[in-house]
Amino acid sequence: MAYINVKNISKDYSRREANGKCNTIHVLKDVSFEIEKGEFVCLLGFSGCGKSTILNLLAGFETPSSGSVEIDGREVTKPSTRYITIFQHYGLLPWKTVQKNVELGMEILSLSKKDRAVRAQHYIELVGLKGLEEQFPSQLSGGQQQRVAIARSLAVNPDILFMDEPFGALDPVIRNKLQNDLLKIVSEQKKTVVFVTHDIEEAVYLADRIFLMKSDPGHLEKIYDIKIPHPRNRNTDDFGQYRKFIYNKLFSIQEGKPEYII
Amino acid sequence: MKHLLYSIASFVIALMIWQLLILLGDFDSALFPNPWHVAQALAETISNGTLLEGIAASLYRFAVGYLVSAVAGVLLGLLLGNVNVLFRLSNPVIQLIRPIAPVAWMPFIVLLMGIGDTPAIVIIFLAGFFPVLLTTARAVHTVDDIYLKVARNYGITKFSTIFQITLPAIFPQIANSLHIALGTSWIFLVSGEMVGTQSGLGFMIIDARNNMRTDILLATMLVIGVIGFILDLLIGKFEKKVLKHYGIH
Ligand SMILES: Nc1ncnc2c1ncn2[C@@H]1O[C@H](COP(=O)(O)OP(=O)(O)OP(=O)(O)O)[C@@H](O)[C@H]1O
Ligand SMILES: [Mg+2]
Repeated sequence: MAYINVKNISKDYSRREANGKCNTIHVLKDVSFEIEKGEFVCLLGFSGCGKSTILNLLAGFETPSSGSVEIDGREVTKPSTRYITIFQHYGLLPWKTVQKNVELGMEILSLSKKDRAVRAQHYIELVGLKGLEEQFPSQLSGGQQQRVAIARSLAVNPDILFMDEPFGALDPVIRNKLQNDLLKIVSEQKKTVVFVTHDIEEAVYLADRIFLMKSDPGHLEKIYDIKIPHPRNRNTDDFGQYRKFIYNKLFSIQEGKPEYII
Repeated sequence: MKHLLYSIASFVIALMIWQLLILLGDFDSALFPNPWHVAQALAETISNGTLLEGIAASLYRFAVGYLVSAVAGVLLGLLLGNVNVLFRLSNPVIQLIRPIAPVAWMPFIVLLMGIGDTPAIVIIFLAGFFPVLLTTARAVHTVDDIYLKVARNYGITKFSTIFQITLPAIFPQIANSLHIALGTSWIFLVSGEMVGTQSGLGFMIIDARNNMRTDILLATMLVIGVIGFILDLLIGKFEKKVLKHYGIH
């Protein structure tokens, strides 16, 4: 039995239209997949295809309209510190310092005040933010804020990280650096990662497998095994091949036919 | 510096208009005293102790009424904001009570509890309580969903979430309502004291009227204005300090 086991999930929302009628919209339809422990999976697809919805279901923030989500043999019914979600806009508490933000999740671990501080310190150093402990999030750059969010999640030692376009708001240089740091940390700590992105290159660079999604209603279109060893180089032929395959699939371009650009 | 100059100029001009009105208006000087006489009356009330006594009585009532309304308003607001059934049950009645001017409660409260500190305190409480309560209850629903998700993810209890997440997240809105409530409470305090008490600044105004001492009357009015201004300044400072504590600049 796989570590994460998603069986035939669908998700419907009812939405009130301008004319006052309630419409049911099918956001996800009959999605099934399995993820093994320690895998790095990217969910890739256009805006609105239901990537965040899948993540919310996996993380237990929402429940599926039908089907089931199991993690480690148990049905997911509510959030847990065993799987932590990292958001595009970081989700840091602006009224807490970096140190206090990282200590946030330790409230339910019965640790002494000193142990919390030591542990927070460890993860702040791990993500390279030593010296910024007493800053507030608003005093940090976007990249630094996302590092704080990563430190905060690692500090509760989760088995899984769910990441929803975590680097979407960052400039390319910072983004590449964070991608490398993330790969290093999760392989060292043997975390399972489900990572949402709509950037093909990012997905090919990071993922063991890419789940390509399409919409209306949201479903898994194709799964790609990325068999390039780490560290990956964006300029190799292999990399380019994957990028091209996935691009063509995403934009429904038939192989062999010329690509028209209007 | 420029600010100070403008402030000084503003007062000088006001004093000149005041003096001008007296020169042009041909009022009975006992009914419309000039600034100098008011200053003398102020000195008189300071030296005979009545002013300080009045200020002390007013500030005491104000402090009690305002603090109780602030604490009760915020705590009950958090409760109503988090328990939707309670909000929907109480909101209709609150909306009905709210437009009743606090002063309109006065005769009823005086008949019920007699004159003294209590009616004035109740009035201040009523003036501050409802705005703070409703602002807090409504603000609870404006908390960004992402913070609540984070709280759930990290296993923070519902109760702890209220004080660790909700309260700081909506603090700017609460502070704003506390600021406004402070102003209205001070305004209503004076009118409360004019009806239900035998001491305090509001009472001094009534007393001065009864004794035909318009100079003391105007002096007291000035003191009320100055204290209101200082209170506003202080809560502004407090607001800034707490916002800074919460990392919001
Ligand atoms: N609470 C909700 N109520 C109604 N519709 C919703 C709700 N949440 C999501 N949807 C709809 O579900 C669809 C998928 O949303 P989702 O956020 O999962 O997309 P996404 O793939 O993450 O997009 P993006 O890349 O823009 O983040 C969208 O059409 C959205 O409007
Ligand atoms: Mg999304």
